[in-house]
Amino acid sequence: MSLDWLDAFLVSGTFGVVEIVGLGLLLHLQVGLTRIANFGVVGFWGLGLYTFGVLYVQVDWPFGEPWQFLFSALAASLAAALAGLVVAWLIADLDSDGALVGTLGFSAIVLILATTQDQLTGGALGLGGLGFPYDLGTTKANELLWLALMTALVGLILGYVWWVHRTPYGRLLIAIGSNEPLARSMGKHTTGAKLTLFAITCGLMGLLGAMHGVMVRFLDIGSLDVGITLAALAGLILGGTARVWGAVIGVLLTVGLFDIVIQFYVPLPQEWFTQAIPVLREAVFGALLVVVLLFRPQGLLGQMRRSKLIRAMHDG
Amino acid sequence: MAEPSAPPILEVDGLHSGYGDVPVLKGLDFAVDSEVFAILGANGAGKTTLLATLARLLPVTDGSIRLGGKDVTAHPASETARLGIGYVPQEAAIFPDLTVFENLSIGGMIGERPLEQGLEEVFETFPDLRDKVGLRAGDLSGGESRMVACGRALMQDPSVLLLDEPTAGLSPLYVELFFQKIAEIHSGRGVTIVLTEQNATLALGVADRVMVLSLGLGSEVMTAADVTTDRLKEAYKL
Amino acid sequence: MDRPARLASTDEPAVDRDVAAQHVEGPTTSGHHNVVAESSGRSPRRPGRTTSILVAAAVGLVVLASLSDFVAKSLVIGATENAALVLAALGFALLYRLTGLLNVAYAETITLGGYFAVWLSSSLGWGFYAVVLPAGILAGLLSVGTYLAIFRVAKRRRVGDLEMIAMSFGLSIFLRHGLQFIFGYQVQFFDIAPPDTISVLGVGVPSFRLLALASVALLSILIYQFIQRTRYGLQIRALASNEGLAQASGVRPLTVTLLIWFVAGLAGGLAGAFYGVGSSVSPLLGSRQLLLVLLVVLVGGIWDLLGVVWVGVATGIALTAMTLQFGDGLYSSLVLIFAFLAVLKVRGRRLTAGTKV
Repeated sequence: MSLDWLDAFLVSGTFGVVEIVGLGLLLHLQVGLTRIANFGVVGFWGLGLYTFGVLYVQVDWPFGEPWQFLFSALAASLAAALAGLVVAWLIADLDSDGALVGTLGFSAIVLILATTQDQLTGGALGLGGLGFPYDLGTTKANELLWLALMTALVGLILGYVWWVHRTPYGRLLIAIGSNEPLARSMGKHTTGAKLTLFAITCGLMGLLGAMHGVMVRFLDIGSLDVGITLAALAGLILGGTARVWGAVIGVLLTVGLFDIVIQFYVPLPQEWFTQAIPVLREAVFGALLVVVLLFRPQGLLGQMRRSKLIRAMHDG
Repeated sequence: MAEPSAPPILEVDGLHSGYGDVPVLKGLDFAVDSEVFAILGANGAGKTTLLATLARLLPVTDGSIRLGGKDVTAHPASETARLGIGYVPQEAAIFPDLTVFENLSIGGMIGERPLEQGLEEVFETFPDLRDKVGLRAGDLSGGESRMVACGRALMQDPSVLLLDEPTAGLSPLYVELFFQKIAEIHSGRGVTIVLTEQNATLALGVADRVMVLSLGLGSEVMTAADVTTDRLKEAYKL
Repeated sequence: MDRPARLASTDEPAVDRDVAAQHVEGPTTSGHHNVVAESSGRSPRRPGRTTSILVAAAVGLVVLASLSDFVAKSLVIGATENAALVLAALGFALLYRLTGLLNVAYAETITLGGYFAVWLSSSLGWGFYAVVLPAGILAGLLSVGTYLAIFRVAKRRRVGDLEMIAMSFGLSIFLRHGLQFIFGYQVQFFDIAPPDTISVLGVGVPSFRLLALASVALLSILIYQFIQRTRYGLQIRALASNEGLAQASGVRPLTVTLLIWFVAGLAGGLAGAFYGVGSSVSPLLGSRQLLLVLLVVLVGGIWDLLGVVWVGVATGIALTAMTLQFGDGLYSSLVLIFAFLAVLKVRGRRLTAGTKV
């Protein structure tokens, strides 16, 4: 099968969009439903990325692919889930201010560890040696299959989020987001629900990080900056934090528009791409956050479906 | 009493007010001259809303408020305070994190009167505060913090003092003392007093005139001496 | 509001007199005068005891320093290299305690303070100490601008707590990357004379760092005194304590709120200039310090503004001590983050009550 018609950058660009959609969906459960301010998405994602990369490259596995990938990715997810559990426990009693500091502090810890433990991670130099758990012959074909697998994973995450909205557990998360003391006074284990939520969603963020590692095949501490958090947050808020499809629509309109439409279909001078475009992208996303929250805080899709219930809880 | 030709000290015309979309006051008319004017009414009648509106902390949705003939309907609270309105809310009436001295100083920042003179006058009215100036206001007892609240408003050298249920929750001893102080403030300094009170008997003991507020509407204004049980009953039923 | 602000005053006793003059003089109150003068300004809870503990701690540290080279180095280098942290934390804490807003974009106020100073210094050809105050004032004006353009509008539109933080996060990133467009991508340095070294407690310190330490200490004291001792400071604290009551007492909310944002921005900008002269100025200058500032403010804020100052000083010294010990600054950051998060966990429930006035 010839893939000459396909631009290699388009595959990696689309992969990035799908990945951020996945992070945005998970962030939707944390911020939109439960209203826990996670500003450290990159920490959980990065912990998954680095745990995966280090295990995959540095451990002398006794078995071959795909087990080497599966074991490393599972360990990465578990590490991120455990971190999510600890961070959730840390900030369970705190308000949004405390949650900001806790999650931001965690992502700083991940960055510091990735930098200082350079025998394992490669530090500032980075670490190569990652690869696909299969070989279709060409890099482009491998990447295309990996994009399909990533899309399937994010599709599953979307299904999970949709399902959570329809379960008693989801309603408990919404109740915590609206009025936690009230939910607690009704005999609900709110702390337990928050810990579970963070363990699952952060674990999945870690898995997305591991998937990312395979696609880029290189660990780079530059990827641990604020960009991932910003992209997920800006997309989610533009689309609407309270709605299942908010992250999907929002990320397509932000990351999709910028990383695919503008970079591929708008003729811009080549020298802009090295410095001006990435800087402009972040500036636009930042401004977007401010403008959307100022003028349409509920995002493009608007309030939650069961808005009557929610309004009644907010007013009551 | 003021000259017949002079405008009333406080005049309210067709006043509507409330919280957000919820209307509370639905058209109030009354005028207050140099006197102690009591607003009676049950819980939820709108007494607190009326005083907060007069202090310009709540928006007026319709009607007007005039202070000595000057329309202050569109003024923010900080400006009506400068025009002579002193306001003592029922709750959160002090700055708990500031000292008593600082609470009083805040009131004394507006107006021409030197701070020392204002403080001396407050200490004459409330001698108990003299020893407590250095304490954190939030650490005081209920009665003392009410004195601080009142003293802070007096430091503004107001022409009208708005007191929202000045003795609610105080022990009987303090209740008597406070109504005595209110009468003193009016007769000694010529400050017009508008107070709200649930207890009609207490209010009639100090007020010159009373008005009953019920469901956001006001009764006719009655001279305290003319109030009879029947007239009050009629007013409350409104 | 009939007196000029005492912000620019460097005559510290005058600020004291300002309040002292307001106290009642006369035979009946003279007996209480001392009580009033001592406790009216600051928190009245046993200031004498706190002071004696601090003095004892300082004396103890100096004694230790004379015995141990490690302690001496930690103290001297920690204090001189991290002095700006205290100033930055003080400004952030002001804004946080007085408006309840955890403003992530404060990081860029710091960065801009550094850039303004470099830009003024290179375009006017003036020395660092000539441009530091104008740079701080520009940062203060920028801070006021962000309040008027964004946070005031948001407050009127009743934007929620979480959304407010997300907005300040977005603004921070917008400003940070906007800065790269305006000032370029290169790291900038101040043009300062090669330092001559002065020995303090046996540790050699560049003289300009000592001067910076003294300036930062003086500015911190002035800002603290402004809040605690002047009538504008009193109005600021009254507005923070009970907004409605302050307005009913004649405090003009807009004027005073603008003042809070200006003073906070001024402190941040000055901190940025001092950070910049200590090392270099880059678009990430402020955001690199933000986490530390946040942690110092949240943990120090469990007590009061003075708590923020002391936690800031202790953090600076601890950071240096650990860097000397481990040989790598990143490890000391790591330990500090863990330590602060532990404090937040333990004191967590009291956090909201303590920091939001």
